[in-house]
Parts: sequence; C-alpha cells; structure tokens
Amino acid sequence: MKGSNRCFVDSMAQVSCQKPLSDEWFDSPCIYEENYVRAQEPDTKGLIIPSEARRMSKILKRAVCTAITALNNSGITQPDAIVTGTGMGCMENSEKFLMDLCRYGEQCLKPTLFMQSTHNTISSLIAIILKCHGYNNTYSHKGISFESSLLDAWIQMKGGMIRNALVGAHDEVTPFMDLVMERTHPEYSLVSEASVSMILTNAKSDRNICEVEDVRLVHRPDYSEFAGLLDKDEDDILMLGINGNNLNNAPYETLTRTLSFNPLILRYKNIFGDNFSSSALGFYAAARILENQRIPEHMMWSRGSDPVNERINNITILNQSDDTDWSLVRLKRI
Amino acid sequence: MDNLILQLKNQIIEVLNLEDMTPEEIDAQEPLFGEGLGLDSIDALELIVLLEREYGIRLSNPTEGKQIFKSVASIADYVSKNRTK
Repeated sequence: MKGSNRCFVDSMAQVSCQKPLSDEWFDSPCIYEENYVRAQEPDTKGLIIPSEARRMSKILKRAVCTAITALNNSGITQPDAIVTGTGMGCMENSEKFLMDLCRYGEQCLKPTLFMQSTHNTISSLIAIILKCHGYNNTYSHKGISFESSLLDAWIQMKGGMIRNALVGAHDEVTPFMDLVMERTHPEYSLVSEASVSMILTNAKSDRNICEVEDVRLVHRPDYSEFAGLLDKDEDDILMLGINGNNLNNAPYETLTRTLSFNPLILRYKNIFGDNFSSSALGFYAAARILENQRIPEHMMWSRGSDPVNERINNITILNQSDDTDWSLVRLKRI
Repeated sequence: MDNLILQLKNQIIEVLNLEDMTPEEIDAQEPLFGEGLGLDSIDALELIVLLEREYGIRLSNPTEGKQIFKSVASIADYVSKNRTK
C-alpha cells in the first residue's frame, strides 16, 4: 500500500468521568472525592440513530460515539482496520445475562443480552454501523488491552498492510464490579470508566496530532533491562499510571529508580480514574499535551532534576498490568 | 382484557427498551412489525421469550407467530386463552 511507514494520530475522542467528547479536562478537570465514579454519558444525538440506540448498552453507546466523533474529525470514512481493546467487554450486559441465567434457567434467555455480552461486540458493532468489511480484531488482555490493539495497528501500518485504523479501548465498571474490584484491585484509588477512540494514519497532514514512534509490550521484564529501553533524550517526560496508592505505585517507582536519568513524570489517573482501559486515556492526555505544547499543572507528579527541553518533543507512556505485563508507547511531536 | 393489554404494553416497553414511549402511545390494534412500532426479527425473539417467562407459553409452531404478534390486542387474546401462569 502507498504511503509512509510512519504512524500518526489523526483524531481522538474520549468518554470518561470528565466531560465527554470534550477537552475541558485539560484546563478545568472535574475533581471527585468518591472512590468510584461512572462515566459522564455523551449526547448521542447526531451520532447514533435513535432506533439503533435503544438496543445498545452504555458501553456500546460510548464506543460508537467516540468512534464516530473520531472519524468525523479525521478525513477518513472507512478505516482499513478496526482494532479494539477491552479488559472486561460488555460487563453490564454480561451481568444481566448471568443474573437471568440464575433466575430463569437456560430456557428463557434474552437474545439481545446474549448477542451483546461478548467482548468483540464493540468492534463488530462499529464495523456494522460503518459497513466496514476490513480487518476487525479485539484484544482482551486486562490492563494492556489498549496497548495490544495499538501494537497490532501500528505493526500493520509499519508493514504497509493498512493505511489507517480506528483503534479504541473501552471498559465499563458496574456497581457490582466495583465491589469485586475493591477486593481484587485494592491498588485502585479512583475507579471509573473509559472509552477512547482514535484514528491512526500513515498520511502526514496538518490534522496530525502527534506521531506514534514506538510501541512495545514486554512480559515479566527485568527492571534494568526494561529501563535500558529508555533514553535520556527521547524519554525525558514519562506518563505513568501512578495514582497515589503505594500498592499501585511501587512497580513504577522501582522502575524509575533503575533509570540512569531523572525524568519529568506526569500522571493521569488522578483525573480519569482506573480501569483496564485507563492507559488509553493516558495516551489521549499525552497526545493532547504534545499538540498543545503545554502541561496542565494537575498532571504533574515529579519535575525531575535533569534539564527539560523547552519544547515538548516526546512523551513516553509506561503502563503495567499486575506488574506482569508492561508496555511502552512513545509519542513524538509533529 | 384491558388490564392484560396495559400489562403487555408495559412489558413490551421494558423488554424492547422503548424508553421514550408510554403505554398510552401504543395503539393496541396497531401493527407491531414493519409499520406501527416498526419492530424487527430480534424484537420478535424478545417477545417470544417474554411470553414464555411471564405467561408460561411456549410457541412451538413458527407459522402461528405472525398472527399472534400482529398487534398488542392479538397477543393479549392469545395469552388470555393459552397462559399457564
């Protein structure tokens, strides 16, 4: 396929506990005192046909709204690929389906809940709406689901298999799931929901927000080996999934102590919260910082001691899931 | 029969997520599929599950479905004659 072997972010849209489909969080974020906050629902008017919306659960509406908004803001109507990451898939429908199974047995189960409770419902629904018959895949790898889908699209773009892709990460957290997460993930300080969609393209244009320079996934890395992937000049600004909870922060602190330099460290979970897709919001925030060439004060965690370039050239997003799977995503200024 | 029709209208609104509608807005004689409420084949499956769950009716003959699901009134008529709970 024609085009460069580079990968640019052309447009993005988010739904979270911040104002949906908006970048108000950049200067005026919503601050929460609760430990569990659901996403602010987007206005579906003009994005989803009402007769189609009635059968969609919350996560599906959010995913379609972010996907259509990202597509509308790019020059692309039919992406070559749709790649989605989701840790838990359509949780609300899955819960209802299982509750019905307990209550009514296997004979009287609702078909809509059955059809819309699988993980790949999101990616396939977007494809149906767009009438897109291209590559369609869903990754469900806990906290690195987003990076897995990003890596897939990035490799295909670098290899010339696709010219552009709609990449997304979507997770909903129901009240019941929040109760479970209190036990299984005590390291989370603010539990919330995420839906992020972005258009990646190999075409350089004025619309580009930033470039995705590198994407890596590492399973059970040796800290010093992983730290060796980072470079003082290219990785002088890190975006980490730290959240103020020692249990959560410990792996990041161990890694940054291993570095031979002292980078500026940014955070995003204090305003977007935690869930299996939250690192997509870290990506989103880093891309907006590169675009605006300005770091909001509320995202600053540690200023570092090494001199920082006046221009914000790169931001490297490091994410880990259970300190087992690590990811590195390096974004570069246009 | 009026009570059963109202009950069915409320149940249809709930299982088909017709959130913006009220029972008064559904004409009991109006066609449910194609025109009228404009329901589709997935909605038909939801209605079959509704009849089995709430009224103990199992529809084994697919050809009779078209007549039963013609309108809310026809569903009510069938339910009143065949319900087991």
